[in-house]
Amino acid sequence: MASELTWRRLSDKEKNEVEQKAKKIMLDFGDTLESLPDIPEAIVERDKFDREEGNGILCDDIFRDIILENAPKKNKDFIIAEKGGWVE
Amino acid sequence: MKAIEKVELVKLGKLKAVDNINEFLNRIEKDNKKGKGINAVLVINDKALEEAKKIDHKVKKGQKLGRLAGLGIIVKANICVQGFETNCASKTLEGWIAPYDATVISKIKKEDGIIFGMANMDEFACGGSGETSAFGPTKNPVKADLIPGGTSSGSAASVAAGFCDLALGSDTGGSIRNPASHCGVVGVKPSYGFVSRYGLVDMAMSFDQIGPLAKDVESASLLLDVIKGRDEKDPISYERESIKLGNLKNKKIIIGVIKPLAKPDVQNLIDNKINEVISKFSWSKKQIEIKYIDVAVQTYYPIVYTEVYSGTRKFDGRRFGKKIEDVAGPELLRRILGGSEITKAEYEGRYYKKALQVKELIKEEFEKAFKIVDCIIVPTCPGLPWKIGESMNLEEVYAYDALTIPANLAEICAISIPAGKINGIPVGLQIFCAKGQESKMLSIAREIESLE
Repeated sequence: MASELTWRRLSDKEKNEVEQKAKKIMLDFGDTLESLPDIPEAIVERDKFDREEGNGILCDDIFRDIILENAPKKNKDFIIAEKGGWVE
Repeated sequence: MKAIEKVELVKLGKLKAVDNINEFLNRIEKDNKKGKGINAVLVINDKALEEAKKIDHKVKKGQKLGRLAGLGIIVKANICVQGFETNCASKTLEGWIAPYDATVISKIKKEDGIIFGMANMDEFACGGSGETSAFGPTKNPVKADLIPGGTSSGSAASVAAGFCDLALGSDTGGSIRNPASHCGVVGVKPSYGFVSRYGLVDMAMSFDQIGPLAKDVESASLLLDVIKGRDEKDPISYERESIKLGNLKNKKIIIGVIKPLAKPDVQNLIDNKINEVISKFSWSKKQIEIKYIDVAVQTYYPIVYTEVYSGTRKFDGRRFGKKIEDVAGPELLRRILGGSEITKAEYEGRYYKKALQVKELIKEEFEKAFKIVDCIIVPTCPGLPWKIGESMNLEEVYAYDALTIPANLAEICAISIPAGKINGIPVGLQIFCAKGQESKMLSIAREIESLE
């Protein structure tokens, strides 16, 4: 018998069960936390709002090559981001 | 032999880096997929031997070598290593090659460490047993029918099985310490911000930290010292001075102990160890109370569910592999769907915001405690590892994190070291120290380790 943890492809019925379980456990945890004291929100005062950006970092050629290699659909020098493009 | 001792031999030319790496490759070939089938390593660097040859060449030429010279390091598959498949043990990122190095990887390479493999893990670091990987569960090298713990299951199992000198894991709620405990190795969760997360595929940004696993405290300290420090690319990271391990045998160390939270056999083993430490080193112990620790699990998971949901929105099937909801296993999907639910406008303030408030209360409790004690010692896990595939109640599974989660909520540092065995199964002892007190924590751990 597979445990609730073991990886497997889930049927729609199983996905629905997973969702119900997630809701139940969050509801239970939320109930527990509700009785605990509230604390005021912290405010962080900063003197300086900007950080030193420097000159930035240039991407190396390997980065660019791998990014393009990873993408299933691409043109010469750009990725075609398409819904469902990676579907098996 | 300790990894730290190997470096010295490599530098002296008495141990060839090539021989070191070859030995690991042979063991992996024998027992990873075949033999014992530990399934701890997903990807092997086919250029590892070339890299080792370069180290040996540097030794021959008398060139300066880094602090990790010739050591074989395996990396959890959620930390980007340029050119390596960094799949987070998921179908979503199966085949995805990382285009850049995480900051921790750049630092290791600079010190001549050899990254030679990617470790199995729980899918997207969601789990706690090593069973949720889409590429099959990792087995515990100590007892193959048991879980190794998770989520850095492959990292801990690799160290325990002798597949590498050192490993990197990530710890969000105990993911380094839990498998370290079950596999009988050392695992360190640094303080929040101690190590840059740039290049780590995030699970829950409020808690994630990268940390080392090793067979001994000194070797883990070495790797932590290499990877620590401020990084402009991770704004929560900060600079700290080098880790120094001191002799604490004759110092007045006060150990904080809290009410028992583990099963009696595990708790007794840890209590006996604390008593042994106190009598050997003339340290003392003090009973303390950490309010709200009982609700650590209930505080942690709403934050995690929310941040998993938020962090995985980029895996939409357009830019990074397959759409995550289509191919996720049950635990990852549970967190995504649960996170989606509790972040609805109608629940505003009930889950995420409230949990963040309780997190602050717990953090304050630990800050108060560290004003009167040097460290707090508890068992790493409340029980022993269960059998792979055993049907477990989800609440019971989450409760296994009850003793590791508090360190993540409080942003403090924590370490798990082997404390002994019950029926041949390793049990980890966990030490908490205040935020940024890694040197003190590791020094205490080394003293306790010396009693072995």
